[in-house]
Amino acid sequence: MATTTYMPEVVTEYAGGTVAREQVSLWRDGLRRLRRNKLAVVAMGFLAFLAVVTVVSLFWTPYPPNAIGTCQGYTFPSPKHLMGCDDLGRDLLSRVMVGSQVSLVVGLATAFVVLVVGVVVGLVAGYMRGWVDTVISVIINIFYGVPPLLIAISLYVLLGASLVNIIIAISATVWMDMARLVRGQSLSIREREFVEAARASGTKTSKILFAHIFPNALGPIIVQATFIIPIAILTAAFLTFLGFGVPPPQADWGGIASEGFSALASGFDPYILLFPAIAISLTLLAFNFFGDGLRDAFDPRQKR
Amino acid sequence: MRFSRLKLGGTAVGLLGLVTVAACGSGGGSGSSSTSLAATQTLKFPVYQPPGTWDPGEADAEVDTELMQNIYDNLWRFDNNLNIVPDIATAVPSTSNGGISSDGLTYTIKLNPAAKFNNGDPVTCSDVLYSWSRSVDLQGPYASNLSAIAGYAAAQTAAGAPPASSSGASGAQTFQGNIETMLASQVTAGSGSFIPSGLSCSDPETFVVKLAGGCGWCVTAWTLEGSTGAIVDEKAIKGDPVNWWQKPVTAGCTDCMVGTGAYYLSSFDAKQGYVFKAVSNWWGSPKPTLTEIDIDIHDPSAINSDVTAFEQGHYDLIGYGGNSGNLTYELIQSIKGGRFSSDLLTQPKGRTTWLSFNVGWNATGGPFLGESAQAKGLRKAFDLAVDKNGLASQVCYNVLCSAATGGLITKGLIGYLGDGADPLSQYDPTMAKQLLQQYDPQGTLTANLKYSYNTGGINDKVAQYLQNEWQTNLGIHVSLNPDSNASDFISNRLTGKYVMSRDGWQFDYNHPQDWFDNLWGYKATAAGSNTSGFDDPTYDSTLKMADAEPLSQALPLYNQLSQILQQDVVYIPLYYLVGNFVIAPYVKGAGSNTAFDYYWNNISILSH
Amino acid sequence: MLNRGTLIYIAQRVVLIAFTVMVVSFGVFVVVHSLPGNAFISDRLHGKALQLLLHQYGLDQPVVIQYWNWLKGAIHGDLGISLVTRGAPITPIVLKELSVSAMVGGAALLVTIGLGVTFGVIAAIRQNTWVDYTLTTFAVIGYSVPSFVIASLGILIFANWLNNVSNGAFYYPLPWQGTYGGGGLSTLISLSLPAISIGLYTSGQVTRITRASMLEVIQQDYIRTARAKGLKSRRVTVRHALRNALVPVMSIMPSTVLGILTGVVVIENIFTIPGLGKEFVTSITQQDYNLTVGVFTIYAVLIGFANLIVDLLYAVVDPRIRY
Repeated sequence: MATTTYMPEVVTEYAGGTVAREQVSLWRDGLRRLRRNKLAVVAMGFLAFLAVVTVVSLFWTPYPPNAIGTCQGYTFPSPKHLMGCDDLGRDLLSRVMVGSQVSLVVGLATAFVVLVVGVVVGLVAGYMRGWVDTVISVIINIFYGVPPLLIAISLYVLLGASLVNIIIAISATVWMDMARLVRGQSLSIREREFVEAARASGTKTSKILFAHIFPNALGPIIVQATFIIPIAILTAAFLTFLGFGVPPPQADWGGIASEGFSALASGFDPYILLFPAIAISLTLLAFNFFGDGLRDAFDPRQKR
Repeated sequence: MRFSRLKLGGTAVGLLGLVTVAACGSGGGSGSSSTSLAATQTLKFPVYQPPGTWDPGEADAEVDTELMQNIYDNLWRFDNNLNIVPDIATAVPSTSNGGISSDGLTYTIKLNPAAKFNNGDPVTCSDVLYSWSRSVDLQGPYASNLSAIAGYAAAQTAAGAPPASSSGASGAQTFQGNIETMLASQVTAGSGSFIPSGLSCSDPETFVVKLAGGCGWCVTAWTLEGSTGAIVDEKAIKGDPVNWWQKPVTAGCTDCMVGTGAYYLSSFDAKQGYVFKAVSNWWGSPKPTLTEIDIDIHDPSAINSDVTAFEQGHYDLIGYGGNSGNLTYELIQSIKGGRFSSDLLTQPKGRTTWLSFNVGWNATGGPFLGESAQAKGLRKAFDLAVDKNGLASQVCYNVLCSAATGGLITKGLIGYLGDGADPLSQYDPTMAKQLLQQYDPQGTLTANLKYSYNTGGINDKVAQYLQNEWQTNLGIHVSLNPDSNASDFISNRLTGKYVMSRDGWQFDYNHPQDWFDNLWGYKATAAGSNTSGFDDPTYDSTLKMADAEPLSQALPLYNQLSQILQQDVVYIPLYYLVGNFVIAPYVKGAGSNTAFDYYWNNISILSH
Repeated sequence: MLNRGTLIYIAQRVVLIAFTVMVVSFGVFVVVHSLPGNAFISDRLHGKALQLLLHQYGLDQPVVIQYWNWLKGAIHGDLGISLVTRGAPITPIVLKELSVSAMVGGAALLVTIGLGVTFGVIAAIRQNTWVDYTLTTFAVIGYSVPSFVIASLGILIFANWLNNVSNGAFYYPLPWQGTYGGGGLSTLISLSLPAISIGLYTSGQVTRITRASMLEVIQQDYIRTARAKGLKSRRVTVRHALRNALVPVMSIMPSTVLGILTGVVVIENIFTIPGLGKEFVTSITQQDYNLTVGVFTIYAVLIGFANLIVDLLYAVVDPRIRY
């Protein structure tokens, strides 16, 4: 799952950090490189489309997504119901549209939680060093010592069925990559002259961490956060597919796919599985291509 | 299927299976007209739940009792039509045949001298005395089937709780071991504190039971197989009082699963499966034809593969062992559309599902609590807003269940009120809306309601259906509280931590007492199983009278109990479960009734 | 190879693994025991009868004491008893399930490395051609499409469309259980779909790393020298470059192993393969405490030693690394 787990710790050194103009041009260069990457641009286009669908689904769907009996159960796709109907006679297009909410919320919220937790833990470990670093590293290694999906399922079962708990459960399995990355950055940046200068002039530790070290590690952190989104969406899909999902009647792609799978496995037409499967695959592809583009653009020293 | 075909090509037996099944299937499913027996008399089928325990004193799950009815005997057994017929006893006691004394309190039961354990030992009265006392002492989930016997509570107190020094599994050894040691010597002596005072032997073949009071349901409850009334062998248990039931039978074993039934345990693997074999020279009748029963334990999600395996001849039937609810609608449709459609067997099961309101848990109850006109009116509104027939057709496609319109007791059982006889089964959205307007005009009482249920099977769909009905017909959003942890759901229900909850009952034996004692009123409260918290003095006094009377006199009283529950709108009736089996045409004598699968010793494999 | 320093290193790592396993098993033990309810409760079994049973199995004791009792057994290889099938010993059950999962996981590992390295090398040799673009895009697709989608597609094609022998019901042989016969070739065939479903995901990362490190190595002097000497390009690549290019590939193996284990959990549940992953989901919903803890423990041991082996192999592949 965690595709970036155990990646060699590539410490990207940024040219400056002290000179503001230099940073601005770095960002501008990066954006230009990103625009030239065709796959990344297409991916961004799809993600924008997905965002629109998600927002629209909050206010409008062709049919009420949870209304039972808008059509006959297992209606094959037709002009009236573009994706057909599920076993309870609910319009599948409406449900797939609404399902994007869960995926996007899980992806973005997890990335945010991991960003906060990973950055704080990583900065502290890297800057403090000593026993703090040792303890944090041991904890990180323990989390790497168990399959992440098992941790997520255990936490889900412990906490109960809700969207928030899914986000917590998934965050608990992907925060380590971010923490390791930030720790590495923090370890190297703390040795630089401008940090030493700040330290010598008596600046508070928290200010050094967030005003000096953090901004200089921002590039790789953002790239890493982008890759956490598809991992979170994928893990959520696994969880809901295995029956550990959001409480019904809320539609989510993994859950619809799971219903579709049991129909498929008993010899029914595969369309119920097909549409959420395509939706989830395209979303993950888009996030991964976008992340790749972002990395190539803003983190040029990191090898593909 | 590409895989399976290649695989079959690799194994001659498998290929043979495919060819022969194809031959049977192409016969239009009219069944094999041949009556000659096949050379190999092995029945192979999957079950979808691992065994819990096969100790009759502790057994709980249906999957276990369904198997154990073939391994153990009670004094009587149910025939395929649920009538009580003699088994180890020579007659079913009644006042007319002298088995029951004129005051109705003393039962004199003659034992069949031919009855033998499958290790060859004869069954004597002291074995019955031992088995029943042991069941009382162990205080397992079905101990209450023996609760009308004089001295029941005193014996349980004497057996007591296990000593506090327990650590891990050794604690189990101590408690059960203690019962074995004490009980064995007391049975030899003929009496003792671990033996209920009402049980005794007047001679080695006459068992005498004295009751504490009148009991119209006792013989039925004692007949429940694989449970507390079953006869077990003290000699086989003493070697391993805890785990003897999972040890295959070997010659002269002193720690294995010895019973009196037509089959014995031959091999056991807790996760994979087990094999039972026919007892040679079995004492009872009919003599077993099947020589071996081969059972695989699968996960319920393997049902799709298993059906195909059935079609290719690897299994002879699916649905036995209390697993007739596992075939999904999609799968049944697939089978119906194919050449195995005639192998499908549909059999309504004695299981009713309803919705319980929290009516009696003051600490946790919501707007439905109590007997005020308002609470009753709101309960009625929520009941009338649900289209029960719609549920059966939209969720069950009228295949997996039927609408519960004839009361709580399932159709086909004693106490069923008749189709459409339950006023709560009506669907009247207009009336529902009126009631809601009358009793909750502001909508404040019915805001933030939750429906609790355990996930799995069709429960998710039923919950979504109910939610949709209330939304459509009452305009009320009820949120769903699914629990993937079934034991958490049960304990919440048993402690009243819900407002509306999925509820249901799988009957144990065909007597209304099984329902009205265990689910509502003072007895259920005392047993800790009164999930709705329903408490009503008229209900309690009527129940007391009904339980003491013979069935014919008791039935009108039990019907009054139904009416009390209906008038008070304690529940919303939902559906009766329908069991679905696939049985190969060459398996003769296999089938099922509302309670259990037909006995193995009635089944034979025809040549095919 | 196995000098004193290496042995000390191995000993240190083993201690670390033991520590991790203890922390993990304790954590899981606490989590599963703090779940509401228990394996026994039912409509009939509650109240006093339930208390008796909990007491019999020592489940009414403080969790720490229960863990201590469990640990004493676990050190001797006894992972306790099942509570669902009361009294059945766990160790033989999980070992059998481990062998099943290992078969699935091993096959997936073969697919991962086979596909990943092959594609990575080809992409590097044909850098910046359509072959390269296709393969690298394929790699991203590989880890973007969830394994259950690939598995479903496989079932659809192989079971429902190509081989519609029955009424279309999906039949997946389970040779591990001996249920439908099987063994030999049939095992191999029935392993292929799960292995590919898992392996496509993990091979994507391997493809990318192989490609990147191959490119780096190809630029290096000794390859240029070898080429200058007139050796044919492909043989040069295979002989000289691949060995060095594999070092970074080794570095992502722990992540690959985790990815495969996760894939195995999902795939076992889809195909109802009776392995550890299936057992985990079943046991945690049925609250068969010892089985859940047992599965976690075995995974922790497995991952610990897998990482150790990878690190040792690292030293073999790259002589510069010493422990």
